[in-house]
Amino acid sequence: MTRVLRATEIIGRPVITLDTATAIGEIRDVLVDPSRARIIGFTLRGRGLLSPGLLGILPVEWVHGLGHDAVIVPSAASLVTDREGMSDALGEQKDVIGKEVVTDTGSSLGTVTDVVIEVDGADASVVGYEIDRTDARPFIVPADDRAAISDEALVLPADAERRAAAGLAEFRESRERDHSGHVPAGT
Amino acid sequence: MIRLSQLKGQRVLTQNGAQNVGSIRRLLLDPATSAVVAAELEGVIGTDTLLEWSSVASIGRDAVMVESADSVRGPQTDAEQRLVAGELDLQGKQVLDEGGDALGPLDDMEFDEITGRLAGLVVPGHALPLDRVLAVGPDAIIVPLPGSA
Repeated sequence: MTRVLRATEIIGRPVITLDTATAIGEIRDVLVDPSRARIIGFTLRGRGLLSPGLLGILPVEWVHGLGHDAVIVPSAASLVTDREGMSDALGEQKDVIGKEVVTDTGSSLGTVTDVVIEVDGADASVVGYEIDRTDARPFIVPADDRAAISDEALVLPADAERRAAAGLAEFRESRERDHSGHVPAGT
Repeated sequence: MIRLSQLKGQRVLTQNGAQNVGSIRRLLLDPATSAVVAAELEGVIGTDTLLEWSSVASIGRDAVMVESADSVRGPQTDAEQRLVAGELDLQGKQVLDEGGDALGPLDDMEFDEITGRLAGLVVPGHALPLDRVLAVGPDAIIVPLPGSA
């Protein structure tokens, strides 16, 4: 079953091991590589007020299930806690929240306020960005694995603006239409 | 087979003295063997609340019978301390499918009254034979995706 949701909805979800049904932490952050529309993984924090802020990194390959109520992982060993492993993963990810989005024809669309992801069983990928701008309501544009990102901006193909959706429901619908082979209106 | 719901609150009487030693508060499960190892009693006189499952002589319609009051004791091993502290109390524990969706809290447990071996779990909507349970632990019970073989 495929689900499309905002990355921020996952924050705070408990991470539970499949071998001992033990919670090893909760999701703190979603790490993405926008240039490849890829989720790298998640950072985990402890549960409860006095627990550690950063326990380690869960690579996306180790996710067994990502559901409404929990993230299921094979075991506690799924968590990367060594400095080298963690810095590798953190090196791949790019901060995208708050970044300006510019099309490859030079239009600024606004700033990224959320990442939209698609989860299918154990697979998760970046499929869109929610963008905010002062003169319009927020909207969602499709992600693209041909994107470029720097400290200054995220550059998306120009047709991202044409395919923008007003909200998550509309975005889901347009994805379903694309997948079933219908030609979207306006092409 | 017997269900936890049939035992909860049931009084425990001794065969040798017809003494009421308490009533069943909850059952303590050893996750390694998937078997009930003891019952924790409430309403007891004194501080000993653990009843080893092997000392249960008979489960009747109106009472659980044990040989004598000596069958009730305090927790002795580390594992027993943890059990009494509630670490492996399955009652009301959330049941998740392996995709990470909650099915609801555990409704009931079914087990063999003689050996204590767990035969199945009852979660909202359906009963699950134990071989369909993927994991039992302190934070959840994990079961396969609904509709999977």
